[in-house]
Amino acid sequence: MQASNTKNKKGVIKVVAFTTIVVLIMSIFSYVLNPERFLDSTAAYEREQYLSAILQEEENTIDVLILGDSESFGVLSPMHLWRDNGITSFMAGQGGLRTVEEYYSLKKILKKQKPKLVIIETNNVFDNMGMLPELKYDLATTIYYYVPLIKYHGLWKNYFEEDKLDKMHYCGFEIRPNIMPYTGEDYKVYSDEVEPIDKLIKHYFDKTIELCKKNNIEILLVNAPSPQHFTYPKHNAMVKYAKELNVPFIDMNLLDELNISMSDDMLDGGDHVNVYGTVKMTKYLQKYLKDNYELPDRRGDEKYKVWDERAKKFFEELSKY
Amino acid sequence: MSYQDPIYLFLLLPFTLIIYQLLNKKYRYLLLLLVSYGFAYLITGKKIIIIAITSAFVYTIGRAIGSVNDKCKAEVASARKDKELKKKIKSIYNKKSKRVLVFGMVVIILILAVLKYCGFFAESVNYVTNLINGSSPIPVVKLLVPIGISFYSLQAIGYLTDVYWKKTAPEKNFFKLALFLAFFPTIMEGPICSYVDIKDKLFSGEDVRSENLSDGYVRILWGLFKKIIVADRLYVIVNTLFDASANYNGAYIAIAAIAYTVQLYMEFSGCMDIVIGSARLFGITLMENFRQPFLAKNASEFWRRWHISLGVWFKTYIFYPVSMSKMAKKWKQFGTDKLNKYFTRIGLSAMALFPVWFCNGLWHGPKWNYIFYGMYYFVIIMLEQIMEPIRNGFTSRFKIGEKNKIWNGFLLVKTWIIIFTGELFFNASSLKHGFKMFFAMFRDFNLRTFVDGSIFSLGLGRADLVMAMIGAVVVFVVGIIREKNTDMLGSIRGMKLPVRWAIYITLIVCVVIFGAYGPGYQEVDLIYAGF
Repeated sequence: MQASNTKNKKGVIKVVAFTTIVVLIMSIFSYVLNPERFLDSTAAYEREQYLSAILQEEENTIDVLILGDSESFGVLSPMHLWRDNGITSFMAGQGGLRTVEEYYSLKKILKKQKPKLVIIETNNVFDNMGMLPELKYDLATTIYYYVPLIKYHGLWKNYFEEDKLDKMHYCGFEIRPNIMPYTGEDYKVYSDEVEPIDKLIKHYFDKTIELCKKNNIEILLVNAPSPQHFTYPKHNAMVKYAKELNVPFIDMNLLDELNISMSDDMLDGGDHVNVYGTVKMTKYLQKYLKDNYELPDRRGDEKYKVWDERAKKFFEELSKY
Repeated sequence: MSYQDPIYLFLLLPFTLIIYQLLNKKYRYLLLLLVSYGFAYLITGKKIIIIAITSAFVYTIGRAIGSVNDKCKAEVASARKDKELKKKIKSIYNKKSKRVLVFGMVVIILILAVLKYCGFFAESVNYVTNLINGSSPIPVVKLLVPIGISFYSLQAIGYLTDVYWKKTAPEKNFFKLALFLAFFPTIMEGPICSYVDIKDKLFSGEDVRSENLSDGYVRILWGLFKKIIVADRLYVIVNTLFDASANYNGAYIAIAAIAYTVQLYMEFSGCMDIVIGSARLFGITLMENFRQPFLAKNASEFWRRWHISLGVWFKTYIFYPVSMSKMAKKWKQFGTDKLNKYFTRIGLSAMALFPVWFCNGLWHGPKWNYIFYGMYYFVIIMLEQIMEPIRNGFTSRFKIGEKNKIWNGFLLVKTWIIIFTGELFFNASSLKHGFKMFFAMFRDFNLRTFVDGSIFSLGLGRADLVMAMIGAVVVFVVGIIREKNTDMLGSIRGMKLPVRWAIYITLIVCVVIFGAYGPGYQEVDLIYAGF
């Protein structure tokens, strides 16, 4: 009996010792392969490069944060907002970003930045994959957040390969000058119907809103012009949902004053806006932000000198188009 | 879900192990059955009903053959010393049980044929009639096939034949037989198990033991190493070259054939490591399916080292019965009377090997390139036998011993070329595609393509390709060690703790860090699960 107890004890000690060694070694790799350790944002996976970029910004310098899937890429031009209003903003969305990723991205960003306003593009609220794939995705994303090595293990290649992700961007905003008009019929077909929102998607969207509120961050929900994605049932659902959340919601598809042209302001035939569309939306949002929020003007502050340089470069680049 | 899926590795396996250990020994096989059906349901959905129906049918037929055998035994016993009567009784009952066996086999093959091959049959008939009179008389219906049907159908036929041959008594417990046919580690890709070999361990409900746990998990890790470090990376190159094969020729096609062969080996043998390791956790030893196939010196030896369980099945249930059949006996007689020993042997081999290789090709699926693949090996293995006297004459003329390194190297490379060419046809989308690629290989063949960096333009990054190559070399070196020391796991267990742990931890670290999984990598389905 005693011999068996001693054997069991030894076994338990071995298991604990083995697990500790494995965890220790994995922690070292976690440190070495942390994307934030790399000097430039291009070290992260392509899809995450704007998130990676904001994590490398100087701490507590971003006042407005933009989140969402690829529709968020064209919501606002940070350099216009800086030049005209002195507001620092950053676009940290990702192509195909799901609400669960939005939540964990924000959690990560909030460790480095204290934005006063988060603008969330709402297209992904209706990007429904079905229950099981969504559940699997949510689980994987949660594991990735808590055990980042599982996600970033492949970054060992960055020590051996040249950076491939050298897309030029200005605080997450890329100048996309291509024009491919939307040639379909009028996409704003009125309906009273309300699109259902998937429970899991909603769960993480709620958590994102909650996280903002907990950190005293104001929230603005926007829906970017997109003939391909806009429907009245979605609009109705979002209006209702925003009311429930008690946050403002602007559907840019229904703002005639924006004057978004389906022939000149579309990037890819009706999915996303191009830079010309963004300039129009930025103009609208500049006024909206001025009227509704008290965001600081950072121009002239020595700490933000780099923003002047960025803006100079951006407008030089923009003038080519 | 698949064997490399985190849900299988981190949820299904550990939880099953814990419950298995907590359960009374008597009921452990029921847990394995429940998990097996749950696993099959996750992969194949409602089609598991076909597996259940097949199991019930096989159970009934097995019992029926057993009952005929029992009656025969009783009547033979009552015949006492009358030898003639005994012989007569045996013959009558043998015919009866044979009829039941044949009925059972025909039904199992029919289910397999209807579900898996009827579309192929219809397409082939339509193709011929279309050539003759432009009509397509048979509607092509593609039925949904339950996972593992090709594997459990062979196990079922093997089981019934073993009962008929009186190698084993029929299983009296339906649930045990159902478990044998649907055991979750083997249902997707085999190995094709023999009931006689596996039943004791499978049903005994042995306690979970630490050495089984360490051996099992090391084996699983080794399988993951092959699958996600090597195979899943090579998949990118293979896809690039096979999908756009029209854009490539010469050495690129050779690279396609080599890359696919290595990918297939790493994937299939890696999956077998996970499967054998999973079963080992429960104290169940499954047969090995691979034994360093690239060290084979000819095609026959290759098939004794590659997909061994399939080869053993064909040998036991097709090759031997055909070799012992009346037709074979007649041929032997004819050969003795009219031919010499050499031609008699060649004729006999051809008679027994043709159905083996035809079935081997067809078993892989309803496609002409698979049938060609089977026939390709039939021809090569026959040629090897035909050429044997010439080869022996050559080696004795030039005094080439068995250990001559240059000669062995030549044989090795020759076998590799045979294997790579076979796999080129195997992975082509059709037989026509296979021939197109094969002939394209001889256009503008430039050996420099292998070394001038062209290989980096095939969709796989430099670091990933180098990692796949390092992984393949590691597997090859371990293979050479295993060739000399078959019980590697036993040797590892016998090592001092720091060395043992260093091996375990290196494996874990390699799989976690260098595995091609997660963001930035594509999830690759198991190739043989599709057969």
